[in-house]
Amino acid sequence: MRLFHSPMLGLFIISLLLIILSLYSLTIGAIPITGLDVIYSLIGQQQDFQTALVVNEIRLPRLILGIIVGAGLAVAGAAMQGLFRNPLADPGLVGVSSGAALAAVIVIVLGAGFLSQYVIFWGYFALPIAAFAGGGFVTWLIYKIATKNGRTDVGLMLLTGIAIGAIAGAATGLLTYFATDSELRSLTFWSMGSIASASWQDISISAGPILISVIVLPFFARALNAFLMGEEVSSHMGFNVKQLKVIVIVLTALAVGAAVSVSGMIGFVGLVAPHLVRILLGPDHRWLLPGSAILGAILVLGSDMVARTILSPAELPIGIVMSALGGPFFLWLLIQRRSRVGF
Amino acid sequence: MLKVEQLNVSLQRKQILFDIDFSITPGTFISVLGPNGAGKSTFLKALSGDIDSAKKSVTIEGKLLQEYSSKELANLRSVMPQSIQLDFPFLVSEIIEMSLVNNIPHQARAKYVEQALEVFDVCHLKDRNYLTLSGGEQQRVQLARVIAQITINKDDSPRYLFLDECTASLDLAHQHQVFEVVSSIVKEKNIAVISVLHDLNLASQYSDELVLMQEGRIINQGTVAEVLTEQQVSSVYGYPVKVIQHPKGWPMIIPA
Repeated sequence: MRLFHSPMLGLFIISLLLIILSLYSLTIGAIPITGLDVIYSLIGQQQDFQTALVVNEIRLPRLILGIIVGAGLAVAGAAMQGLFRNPLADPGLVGVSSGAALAAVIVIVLGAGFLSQYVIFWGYFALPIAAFAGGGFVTWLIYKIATKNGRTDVGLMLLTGIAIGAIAGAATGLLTYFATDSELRSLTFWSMGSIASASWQDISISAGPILISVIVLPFFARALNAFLMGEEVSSHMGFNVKQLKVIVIVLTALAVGAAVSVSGMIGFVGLVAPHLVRILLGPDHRWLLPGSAILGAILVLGSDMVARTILSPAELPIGIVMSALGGPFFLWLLIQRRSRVGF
Repeated sequence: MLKVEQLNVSLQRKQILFDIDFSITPGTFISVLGPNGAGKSTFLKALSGDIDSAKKSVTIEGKLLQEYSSKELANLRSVMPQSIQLDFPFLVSEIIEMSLVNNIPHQARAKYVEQALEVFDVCHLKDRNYLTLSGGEQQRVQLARVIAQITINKDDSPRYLFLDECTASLDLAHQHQVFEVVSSIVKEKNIAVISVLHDLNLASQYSDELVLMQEGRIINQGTVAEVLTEQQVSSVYGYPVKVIQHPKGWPMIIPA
């Protein structure tokens, strides 16, 4: 049932995998660069100026952003599945990403006019803050609608996600009529998800919030474990349930908001990564949360490598690759649950 | 001693419990009986600290529930709900370890798990995936967890165990196994048990005292013989019953 009986060993092995994949990803792309040249570029000993530029200013930020976004989305997914006590919760599926994206789109389109004061005040943090607020609001809303007496109704949760997705879609569609050409291009980027234009600025915006979530959430691992048996059960075991719920909602919104504001809507990372980690290390949040962060990074990195090589020199948005992978995975999960009692 | 006087509880503007006076001392096993909708589960929730407004009137050892931290309460009382829905593939040993309120060293955990499971004779399930257990096995694992929370590595100060219909999904033999274990713990460990039950005969066999509820009020509280009279049971349940004697002495309720 579990691949690794020692979770530490499991974490070590997937970390190793992430490092190897990261180094490899720097070598592939429109111009092939050898591993040795990559290492020279990274340590500043590269003689060829152009190679150093490609590695340090194009591929490295993209690699780091992929790792940050993947880790953020996957940790948010794992934590939300705990909050909803259901392994099918995913920031994309239940509309949290849509909410975050809609808020970001509103800021992009209305930023020049109606919201100009807000944008001027917050500078380039205007987007992630809006995305955080949008994501947080949706998480809270879904929790209120789908949870009763400490029990989350899966159907209600997913249907609420559909409703929110529809609202966000309509609002985004409406906003496209007000958008200029360049704004339209970035709207497409939001809905498809991409890390192709990664810059050091994107990294500086998103690294902080995501790092906070990835580091703080594991401190609540034991409380989340108990929470999986129900709100009352975990409070009987001495955990502060109200505090836990607030913390999980804020930290998932923080991670999703930050990820969405720099990479648009990349779906299914939060669903697939925690599932794979449960198979590898088991469902204990002490290992699940860090494991999901690592595996989420691997997933996004891997998908991005596919996205930029499969149609080379053209590029697919990474969101499409992730959906092509995550959609069938989601179906497989549903079919598995069908065969279980207590669907 | 756990004690409450003049407890009134309203949920969503509807009053569920009226003027409840109740107390229990460790070493006693009290079962709460009554027809559906009598307020038994709400009564249990009020006493165990699940209802915020009731935390202002229920006391344990003279101190209001709201004056205890949730961790202190967890060391003092544990609760077995009617059913627990878990959708994640934990091992049985991991479920038991969750009941550790205070951290203990890694090596002591295995012993803790053994001790907890031994109580219900389910040590062999230790490394199984909880989701693959039968309903009855899951129930016994959860009971083992709940009892471990207030018994293992604890001193002899008074503790309280709340059971809400905890044997509903168990077969005859396992029902009796559970109550044999619980009633022996009551005597050995300075523990008070408050158990909501539908099965009058199980309650009659294992309880020291009974509480009979109807429409949110306690109609009668006393020894088994005092509460389980033909006239009282018939009128509260609205169904004619006869009381006969079990060969070993306790009263048994059968339809008249």
